Amino acid sequence: MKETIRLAFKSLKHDTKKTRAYFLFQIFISIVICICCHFCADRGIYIQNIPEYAYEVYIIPGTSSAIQSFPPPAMFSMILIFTVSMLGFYAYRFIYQEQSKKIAIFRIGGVSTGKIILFLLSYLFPIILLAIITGVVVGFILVQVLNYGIFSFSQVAYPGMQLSVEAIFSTIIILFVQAIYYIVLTLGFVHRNQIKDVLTYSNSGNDLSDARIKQEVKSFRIIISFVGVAIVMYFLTISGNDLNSNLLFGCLAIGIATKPLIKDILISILERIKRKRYYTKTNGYFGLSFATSNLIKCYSLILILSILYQFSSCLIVFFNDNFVDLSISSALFLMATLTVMISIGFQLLTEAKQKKKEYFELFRIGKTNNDIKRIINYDLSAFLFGTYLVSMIIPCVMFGRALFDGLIHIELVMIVVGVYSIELIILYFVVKKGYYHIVKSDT
Amino acid sequence: MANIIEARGLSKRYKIDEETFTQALSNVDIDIEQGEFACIMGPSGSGKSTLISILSTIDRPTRGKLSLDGKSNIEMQYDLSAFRYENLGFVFQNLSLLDEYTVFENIALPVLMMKGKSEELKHRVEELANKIGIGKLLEKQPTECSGGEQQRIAIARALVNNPKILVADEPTGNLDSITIDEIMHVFNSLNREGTTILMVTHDCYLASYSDRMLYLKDGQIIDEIKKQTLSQDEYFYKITDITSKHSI
Repeated sequence: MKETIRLAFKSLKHDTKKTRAYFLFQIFISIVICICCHFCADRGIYIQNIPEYAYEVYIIPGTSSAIQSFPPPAMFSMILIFTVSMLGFYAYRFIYQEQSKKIAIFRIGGVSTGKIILFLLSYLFPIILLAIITGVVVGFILVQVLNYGIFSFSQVAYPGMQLSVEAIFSTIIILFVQAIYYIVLTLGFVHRNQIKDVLTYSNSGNDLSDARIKQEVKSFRIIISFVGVAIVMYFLTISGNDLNSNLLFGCLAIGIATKPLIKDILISILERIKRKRYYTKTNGYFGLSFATSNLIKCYSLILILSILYQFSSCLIVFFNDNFVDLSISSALFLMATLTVMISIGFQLLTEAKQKKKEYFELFRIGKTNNDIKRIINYDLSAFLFGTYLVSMIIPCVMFGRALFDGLIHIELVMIVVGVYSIELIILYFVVKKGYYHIVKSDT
Repeated sequence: MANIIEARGLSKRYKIDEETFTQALSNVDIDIEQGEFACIMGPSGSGKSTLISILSTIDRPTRGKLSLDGKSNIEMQYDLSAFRYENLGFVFQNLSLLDEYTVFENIALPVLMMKGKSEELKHRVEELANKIGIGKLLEKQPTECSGGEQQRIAIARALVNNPKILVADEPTGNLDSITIDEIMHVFNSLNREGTTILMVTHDCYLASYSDRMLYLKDGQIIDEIKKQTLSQDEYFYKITDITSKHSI
């Protein structure tokens, strides 16, 4: 055991540069969780504790109005906490991809699964612990700064630094649950490690027995998905005009409905498109950067991004009459979009590692650096443009109607869309550079 | 002599997409005796890597029975790690050395992880390293070693548990001819000491170091030749004849 931990630490010391991105992302996740926990602690009044303040539900014109007991930004914070905790998976998977060769070597040498898990946990423990401590401290300071700023601008007397026991306690609990989630993920990763794929050059396709099982559950999955949508839609109908309920059930409905359907229907269409190879500018290699098995993961991220973007931008645009709302909604908007975009970045770079073999073959048959860059550019730009379009559907409809009714300012909508577009463009350039670097590194 | 590897009716089928399947292996029967040096040859896509993956427990057959050292493939699954640890050593073309560890740690890795550091392990690694000519490199990093030396390190790691079977998939990949000879002499000396060796290669010269060559095409063993009393040159020419005959 002692020797396994020593080897893990030695490995971590060697990989400091490689794990830096993951370390920073884990800090960011911890900051987001800490801030969001403060936003929704004490029924959302920690930050928003300005006297005689209450949230009104956004009501579609012509219907009745009501006073909301739980602020929508606090509700959104809860959703964000849950999502961000889960999104750590993508960065973790990126780190695991780095370790897959090592795990395969251990497994082939007859090292037991328990020892491999101990190795991986020892490897990640210092990174996660340090990132969590840093994140919580920075998050707490940022909350105090934000709180001070809100009180200053609202011209309300600042009551001094406040400590919400509920916020700190829930932050620690959530990060603890996240750590357990990582342990479970580690178990899964070790079991799924394919020695054959990592250590040999063979890549023949899917095992027939696996394919048969997938085929058998396909129709069952589609039925389950429709049943799930029906149940969620029922609750959505009975929840009435309550924005929180709509927000929660809306997210659930979209998630349950589309993931299996996309997996079984859209993926096969995409595969056919890829096979046609009519994209002449990349000599038929358009789509090479994406494995079909990964499309579903990318799709999940696009879905999460579009949902979070849509609701956070709605919070900004519809609750802009108060500076407190606007500040909190803007902070939530930035945290939500940035977290998911970084996760998308990690997902794409993980795929770059998996696609190394294909690009290696392209180099071998004489493709130049420019050809490879062109393929990557086309693939990434198509993917991110698709992401942009999907996430714009609902805001276009909602903002369009609200603008028509004179409920919101066009300037605010433009700022939100502009910031989001800039974030995506930055993501494109960062991922493009990283993708090419990974593909090129072993050739 | 008793068979250490016995396979009956091994088949492996892969699904490429909704309509296409690849039959990588079909109904392969194979017996490898204890202490034998067997070699599997065949053109690209003939299924030799799939066969060696199945015979070495890395992959599972779609159909068929496999027995290694008297244990069936179902019995092995109960504790595959322990079975590999006690019985199998692997050498790949893709060297699979870890740059962050010293040569000593790379060789001793499985034992270090499972049993920890000990004087006995130190002696075992030193003895092994001296035997295959890398005794002076133990404190170096793999990146400081030449291609041939790195391959020897990989071989030493495969042998550190004293396995009964050594599995080698294209073990001399991109090495020069002098280093190839040296590596093959190491294999021969290990084989003389009783280690069963199962090697996959497309190189007739490498195959001429073995006792028996099995020729695989379209997922089936279609030819076989034993060295027996032949000299290495005669054996080499016979292997060349067979590969030429089947590649037409």
